Amino acid sequence: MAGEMAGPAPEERPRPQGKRNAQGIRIDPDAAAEPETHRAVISALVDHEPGVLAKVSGLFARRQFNIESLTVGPTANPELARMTIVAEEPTPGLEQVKRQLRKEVAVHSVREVEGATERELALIKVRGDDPAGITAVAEMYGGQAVQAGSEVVTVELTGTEAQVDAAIDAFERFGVREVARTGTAALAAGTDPTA
Amino acid sequence: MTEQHAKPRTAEPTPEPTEETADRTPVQNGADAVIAALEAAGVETTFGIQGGAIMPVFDALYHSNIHHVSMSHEQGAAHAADAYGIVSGNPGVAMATSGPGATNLVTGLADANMDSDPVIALTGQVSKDMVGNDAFQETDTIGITAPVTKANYFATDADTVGADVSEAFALAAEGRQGPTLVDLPKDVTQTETSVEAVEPRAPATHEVPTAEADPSMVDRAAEVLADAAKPVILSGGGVVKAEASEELREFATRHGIPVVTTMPGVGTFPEDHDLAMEMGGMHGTGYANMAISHADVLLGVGTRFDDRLTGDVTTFAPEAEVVHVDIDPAEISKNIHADYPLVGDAGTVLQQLGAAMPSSPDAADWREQTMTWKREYPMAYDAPEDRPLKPQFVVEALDEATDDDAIVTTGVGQHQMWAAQYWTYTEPRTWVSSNGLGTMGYGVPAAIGAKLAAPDQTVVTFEGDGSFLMTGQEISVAVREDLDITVAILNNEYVGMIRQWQDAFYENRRYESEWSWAPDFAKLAEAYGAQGLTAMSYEEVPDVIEEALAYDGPSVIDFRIDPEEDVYPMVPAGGANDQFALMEEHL
Repeated sequence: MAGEMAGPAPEERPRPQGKRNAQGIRIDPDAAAEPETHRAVISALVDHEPGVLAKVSGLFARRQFNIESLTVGPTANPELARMTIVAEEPTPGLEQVKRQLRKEVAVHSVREVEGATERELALIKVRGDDPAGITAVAEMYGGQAVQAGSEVVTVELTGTEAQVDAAIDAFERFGVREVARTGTAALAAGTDPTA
Repeated sequence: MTEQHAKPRTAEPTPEPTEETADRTPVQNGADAVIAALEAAGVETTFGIQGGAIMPVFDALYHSNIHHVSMSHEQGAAHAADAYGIVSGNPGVAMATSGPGATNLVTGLADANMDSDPVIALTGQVSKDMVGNDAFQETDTIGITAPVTKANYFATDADTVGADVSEAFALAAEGRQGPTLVDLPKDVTQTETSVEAVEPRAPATHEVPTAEADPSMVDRAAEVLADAAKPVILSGGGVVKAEASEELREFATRHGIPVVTTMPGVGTFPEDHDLAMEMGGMHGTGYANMAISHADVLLGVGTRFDDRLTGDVTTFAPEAEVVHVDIDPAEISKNIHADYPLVGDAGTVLQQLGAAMPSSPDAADWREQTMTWKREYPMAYDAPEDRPLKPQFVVEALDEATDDDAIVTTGVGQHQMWAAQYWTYTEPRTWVSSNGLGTMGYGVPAAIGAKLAAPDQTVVTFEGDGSFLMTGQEISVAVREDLDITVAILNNEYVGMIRQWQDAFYENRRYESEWSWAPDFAKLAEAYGAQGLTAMSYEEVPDVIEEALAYDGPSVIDFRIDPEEDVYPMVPAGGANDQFALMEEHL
């Protein structure tokens, strides 16, 4: 057969002992540990221009970054918008998210915000059979009924993602018809700049 | 940074005209502004094809001294611009109209993106008031090209379109190089403006790494390298792009460290040097892959640790501490964890490392080991008389017949691997290939771009029969432009690499890889107006090479090679580098 070359066969060669994991990190050859994922809030200041959201969301999609939520809105500076991204990834993956974001020309700065003030707004439309009960539960979660009809009541509330999850659970007893959530917005605590 | 401290995007004031700017296109409309911006960037050559939406820009070219090369297909324009960028170091320019013109560019832009080649594409677009209406030859060029460009711009105003081009040009060349694109609606290029061109200037908005790496990390990396017993340098395409071959050679030879190159890094270290392990990875040399696999410290410079190089990452350089030098922070620990990340310009960081090395590593035994591997796994081939011409022989014969600075361009497939393995590269920017994307048909249009970037250097193209048929019509352009290039088709009448994989991994089921008929390539070349030659035997090889090189114009040589020849060594996809196969039975 054409193309044969000289030299010891694969099984006759000395073999190295070490091993890496799927992230390319050297590990104990006997270990099979994969890095644990963690949830991170990433804030980015971007040009307030059409097309920027498409570029950022396209970047996340094609690199298979695991994004829980992404919100975008204007800032005090009319030329800039702020994106808040909640991602769940192993640490090397989170670093990739931040570094790839920084390469986008429309992205001015990127930071992972730890200990941030996090809020999201939820609108929850529930069956209106028990208006008093709904009002009581809404108040318990710091929300309020904003629209009431003969069949449904719409409640507005803000809180952390976990608080909103808990509130929606609590409203299940009335029958939840529809939910709209904004995703998490976040700012760093105190005088610390967010991004 | 805070919201209040954002850097404004406003352009600087227009410079006063100087002597240098005197022969620039006078700006009367947006199209003039586009061409004046190219002139301000020093562009002398552009590649592309006419079309309705880009006509105003071509009309502005009519008045310019820029030499425009009309290609046969926009993919060819993108590859020619890409090769021009690789060889010259400055962005190559590809121009196309809207719709199919723009979509035909996409393969070439993706190719440039994978190999970090500097390219700027200018595409026509339907007028702004038509965008979104599914107008004739409308396509969402910005949307389609966003994933395959470093940045792209939709020009909205004749007054700023020149600045858009200047910014895109600067970005293509800056930091980690790559392709950029400016989409030019016809109303923008036709609208009057008198805003003069500015020099290329990248936007100040995004974070660009400094040339120098963190000095404390440099010190730590230098210490690890000095203490290494089995050090290896992995030199990538970033070394070419950063013009850092000199620094790399100086560092490797001063400290006696063997050098493996990636495929884009071919030419960064002279392959006839004792320390040269040549190319590593899937079809790399046995000694390169043994050296990587057994290294205790690996210094990767300007490489993204692509899967064709690493094989299975769990077995890649499994005992090596990794020092990674790269201008792009996103490459650090993307595929292989960097124990010592050094973000900066390759040449600058190599100088920093050189200054910080407390001593050279004590690696005489290791160097001896690598020499032993060179003897154990020689890059040699059998050429029995009862078999047809071997492709490796053709590569070596063309190498011998040309100067050291001859430029090799290739298509993609078996011929590309033989061209990488059996040509002895000694200079950067002499290996011009589709490394990352693996685009068949890259070779001929790349030769056109390479020759125009380096008219005084010999340009040799290796193509396969299958690969050549994808873009072979660009030979007509080489004839029209009177370009002295030599195209060697290593013709086995197979889609050879597929046939090899079918034999090895699909139980010899050669489905759709065997040609039942292939054209007479010499006659085809003559039909285009080029010189056509054919070689069937070893005896004919020197003669046809001499004829091709002597001919003042493009030549195509159809080398009828042994159709059953395979490319070895081979690390199967996802395999361990040290387990490379030397024959099919090893797979």
